[in-house]
Amino acid sequence: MKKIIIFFIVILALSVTASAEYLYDNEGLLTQSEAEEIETLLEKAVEKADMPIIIVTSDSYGYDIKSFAEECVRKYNDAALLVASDANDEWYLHTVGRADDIYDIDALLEQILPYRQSGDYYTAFKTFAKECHEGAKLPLMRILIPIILGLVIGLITVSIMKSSLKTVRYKSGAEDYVKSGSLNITASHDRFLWKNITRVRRQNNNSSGGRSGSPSRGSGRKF
Amino acid sequence: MALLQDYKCPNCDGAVEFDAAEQVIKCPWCGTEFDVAVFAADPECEAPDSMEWESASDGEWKDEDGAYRFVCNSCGGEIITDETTASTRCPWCDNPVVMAGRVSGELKPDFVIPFKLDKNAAKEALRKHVSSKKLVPKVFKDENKIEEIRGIYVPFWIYDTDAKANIRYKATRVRMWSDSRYNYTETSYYSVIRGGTLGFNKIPIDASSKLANDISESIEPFDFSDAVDFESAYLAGYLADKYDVPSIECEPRINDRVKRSVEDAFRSTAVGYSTLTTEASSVQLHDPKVKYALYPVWILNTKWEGNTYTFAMNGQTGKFVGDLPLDKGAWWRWFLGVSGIASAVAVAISALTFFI
Repeated sequence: MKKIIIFFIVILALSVTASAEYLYDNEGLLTQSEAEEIETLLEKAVEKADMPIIIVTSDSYGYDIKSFAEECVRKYNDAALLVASDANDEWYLHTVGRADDIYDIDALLEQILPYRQSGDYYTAFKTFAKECHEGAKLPLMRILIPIILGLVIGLITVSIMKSSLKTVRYKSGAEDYVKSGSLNITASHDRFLWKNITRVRRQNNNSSGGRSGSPSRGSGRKF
Repeated sequence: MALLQDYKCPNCDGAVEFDAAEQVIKCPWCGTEFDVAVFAADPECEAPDSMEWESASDGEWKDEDGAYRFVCNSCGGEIITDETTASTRCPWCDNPVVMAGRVSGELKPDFVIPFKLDKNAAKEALRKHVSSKKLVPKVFKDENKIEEIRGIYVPFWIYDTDAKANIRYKATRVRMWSDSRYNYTETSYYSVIRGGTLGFNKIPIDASSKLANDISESIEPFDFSDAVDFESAYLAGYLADKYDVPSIECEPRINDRVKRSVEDAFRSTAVGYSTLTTEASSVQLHDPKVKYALYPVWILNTKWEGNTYTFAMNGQTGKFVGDLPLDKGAWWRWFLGVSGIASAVAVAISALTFFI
């Protein structure tokens, strides 16, 4: 029941302004020109990050803002979402999938909230859009790990090349000069001495199926 | 017997040389080819005359500085050698000469494996050896250096023996299973005893102190089936040394190799164990025989930054060895180049998989 209600609220919230793609200003916090400007900025960020970056303002969100946010981006694997509910004095930032890797939502909230407090919604949304644009880069680990991998490949390659420089080695035996068929085993005893048994407790890793879908994270403030 | 021997062509009297490709003695002047047997020593007729009036030097004399001097039969020029040279070329007329006194009598080798690969093959092998390695300083690819490669008959002691051995190994067998709560590992210990014999044929060990043993072992094996009874005519045109390491000094090394091979061969008959380590072994050599042989080796010594680098090729099989120095600059260029390309590709893959 709860899910159905949220579902309808979201449908309503995302269908108010038909022209917009990423900004759904249901509360009317922005002027027409401001809204257009924010939409343009969001479009730029979306293009760079290659995933939806959405702002929704809504005076109602059903039971809780978290469920509302999750429902808004349910159809996306990767997305960043800012839900602003001025009527309820609650803002919420939600990231799914890749956005979760790229954006540090707590830091993002810290940057946006001061503007919200002074009632400057336009700058707050602009900051969100710009930061999402700025932050749309490969995460550092996605660069560092391949570089380390490349260095390891390089090191292995030159080590192989270096080892080919050494060709002078003592022979270990004289197997090249064994008379063929001269091996004659006359005594052969294999005697069992003793045995010991060690046991190690098995690790119970009955993992409960794991989570499906993309990783997601959310963080919000109520004022 | 004259101390300095050069081999003259019976046809034109020119100095002849052994030809590795044709396996005959060839006269470079008139082109005639002779079987080595033509030049085989005939001890009775060639026994030295004893007609000297004074008991004099026999043509070989030693300087205070340790150099040995000979007079070239062909041009009369002076040939200076060290104590062990058995065959060389006259520095004045390039005539191939053999210090016959150093490969006759007590010092006469029993066998010789004649050179099978000539200088061009050796130069080609050296070029390939160096060019296939990317981290070698450029100076090693210098053609002039390659030209200096020399064919040398290196003295080897060759050992025949039947080894009788009793060896005790400590062996383990490991079995693993598990039930719902535990993983079990069962290790069983065994005492494995093997006794028997293993025969060895013509194990060579380098009898010259001039050639490092690790190099002479690296170009092994030599195939003794190509060996022939020694005739000094085979040395014509090549360098040759007489032995200067007595066979008794080589025995510990030979024993090591025999023992290791026996242990390995016996170990291969103990199957089904997870580990097998030699605990005790006793090896007795039966019917050991030592012979003296000259084996063909192409050698090049090169100095670089104060170190000497020796390259050697088995003159019979063509196996080429020689440690090469590392060019640090090349090392860094290759490391950075390969790492750079690999990193770029890896980052690209990482980015593509991230954004798609």
